[in-house]
Amino acid sequence: MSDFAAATNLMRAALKRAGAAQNGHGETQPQAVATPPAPTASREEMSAHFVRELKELGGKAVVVDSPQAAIDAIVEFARVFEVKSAAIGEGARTDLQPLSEALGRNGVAVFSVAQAPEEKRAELRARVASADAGVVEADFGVAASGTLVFVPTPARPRSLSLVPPVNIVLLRTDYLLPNLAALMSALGVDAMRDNPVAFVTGPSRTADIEKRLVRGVHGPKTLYAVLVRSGRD
Amino acid sequence: MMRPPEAESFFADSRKAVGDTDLRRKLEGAVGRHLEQVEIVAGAFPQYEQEKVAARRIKEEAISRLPELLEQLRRNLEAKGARVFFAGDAAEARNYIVDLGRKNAVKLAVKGKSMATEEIELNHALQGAGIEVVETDLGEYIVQLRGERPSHIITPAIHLSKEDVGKLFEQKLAAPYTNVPEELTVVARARLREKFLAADMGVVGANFAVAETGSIVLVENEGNGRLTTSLPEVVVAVMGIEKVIPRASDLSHFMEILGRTATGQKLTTYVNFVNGVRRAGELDGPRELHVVILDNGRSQMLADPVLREALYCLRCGACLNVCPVFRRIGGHAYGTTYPGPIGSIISPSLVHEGQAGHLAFASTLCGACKDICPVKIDIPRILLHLRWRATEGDIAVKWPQAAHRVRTGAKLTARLFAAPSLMRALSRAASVLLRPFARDGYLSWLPPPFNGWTQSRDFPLFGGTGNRVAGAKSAPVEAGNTGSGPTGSRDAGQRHDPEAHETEQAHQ
Ligand code: SF4
Repeated sequence: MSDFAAATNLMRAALKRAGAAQNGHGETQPQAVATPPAPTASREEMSAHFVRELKELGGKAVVVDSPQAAIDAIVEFARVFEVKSAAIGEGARTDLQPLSEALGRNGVAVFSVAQAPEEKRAELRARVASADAGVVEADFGVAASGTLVFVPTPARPRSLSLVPPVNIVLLRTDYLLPNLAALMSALGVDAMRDNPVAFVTGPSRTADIEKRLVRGVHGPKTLYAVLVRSGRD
Repeated sequence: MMRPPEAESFFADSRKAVGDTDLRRKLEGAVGRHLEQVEIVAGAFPQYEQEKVAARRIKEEAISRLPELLEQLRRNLEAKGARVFFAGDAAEARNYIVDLGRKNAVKLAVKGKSMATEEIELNHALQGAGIEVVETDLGEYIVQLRGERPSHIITPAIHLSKEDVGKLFEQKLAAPYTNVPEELTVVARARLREKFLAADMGVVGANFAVAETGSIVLVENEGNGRLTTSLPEVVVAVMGIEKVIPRASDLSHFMEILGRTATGQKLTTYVNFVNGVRRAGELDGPRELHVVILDNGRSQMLADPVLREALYCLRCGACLNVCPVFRRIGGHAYGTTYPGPIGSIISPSLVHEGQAGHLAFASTLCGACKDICPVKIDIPRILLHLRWRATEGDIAVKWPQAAHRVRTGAKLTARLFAAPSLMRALSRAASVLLRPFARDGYLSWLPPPFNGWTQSRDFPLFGGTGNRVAGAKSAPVEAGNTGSGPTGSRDAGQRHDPEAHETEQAHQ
């Protein structure tokens, strides 16, 4: 085994010996990097942009006015797409209990994966693996790219947006951000240190065969985002 | 194990590839579709240039602060329960991971796409220890089933058609033949999902490692990287030392350019943070997380102020797609883990210490790679620098005899081109003498020492326009010394020339 400290010291020596990089552009001094200014788009404009982007990627998206309208939309979606079983966790911003009950009343076998004690893990994992859908609330959305941002915790584990072939996602429009730079500040360093954060932009895809686009190779093939108007505009 | 890349085999393989019109058709089709998409997406983003500059600056900062950033990364990873191992070379990295597999009684390992694990030839070692290894990126899975290496760092199966894949799945997976990419993908998804659920170990690379937060960041489209790091009990990430970046917020700049330049997407589908081990009550995530930080020649690059710039590389693959050499010969002919322009500058340091120097000469220095590179790496400048180092003898280049002849011929040809009156006189004479051998005003065979030219392209006969589109020769007999033409017999004679040098240094 190579010693870590010895290795970094060798690198130090190498850097010192060689002096400044000669890269034809002149080495730039470390400095704060300017980020493009966040477009001052209204929440409505951002929602519309988000929906357009996600649809272009092959996802589905709607904007609704209230939590009840979101529940209605999801129940209808489950009926059309024949979702018979769904895994769910706790919401990031919203209480998902009413949604869970509404799905249950409409013939979907909903089960919670929030808090999986070690002795129940194997069984729960198997259930998620055979579930038709995962239902989860996104922590943030990025309008510019139609990106859903998840900060998974034991109360809403990452499998929800990863393992089942259909992913149903709730997103409050007051957590929409114009672009990635704005997301970085909203998300914060601690969230990116402590959680298996994922930025998800559209359904899983591949272009590995002749560079032709195919959706749903490993992650969800069907992605349905319901944007709920909330907060002041 | 991979054979060391030598000039001899490179000449032979690339000559064969140039004559392979089927390969050319597949490459051009896929690369063409790809570049169109990249242009559209990048062109529609006004901040593209600005973000490239930002990304470049971050890489400059990261590499100049490498030792302290790696130390910070390690502290933060360990604070979250991950274990960090520094591997000085490929063997150390391999042994560590194989040991890990043994200790945990691993039977099945799934892998996310990772060039670093290709570099250390991990699959071979794991299989040697009785561990089944399955590549899960669709392209990697395809080349693994074929027993090949990836031919492109982003699109490993770019050299194959959908029919090739259909036949492969029929043969190896007993799936009914189809050439529809959607159906082929469904077959692969079902097979690989079983593997994901059964695997005891997950192995991935890293696109970035954030020092500030101790995060390994994976950027991918399929979701296989996320599955590989979420489901198995033991997860290992293998990263080159150059992957570390200072701050989490730096990521937004890389994200804005990486998808656009690598695959023509605004943003790659998944950006995953691998952050420590499973927490109490958590359904998924590994029980053990290991991060292998790999040097394997990289700190040698650090010590070379010109070559150091190559450590900024994001492995986006863009320079391969625009390279006229790569587009003619494909990835396999390079004989290295990393093909294309970036491969030609890093292979002598990384994979094959002090070897593969001949690749620095396999470039026209056209500069297309430099123009497209999202972190503005001046690849032509580094190629020239490596040529210089090769002539100084600190990178070994073993030239085959054939190369010597090619270059003698090229030198003479160059002199002729430089003396127009002599050239005119000679080719007028030649056009009379050689007319019986010409087709459409082009000669497909010239006598030695000029045959270096005609081995892979036709020579314009005097009076021709000389602007025929450069292309591969279709007749394979002329592409190699098969002994069926005049080239063959003459070459056979020359092979016994006692004057000929087996090897020589590049500066001759
Ligand atoms: S050298 Fe530049 S263009 Fe080539 S793979 Fe690396 S980052 Fe991409």
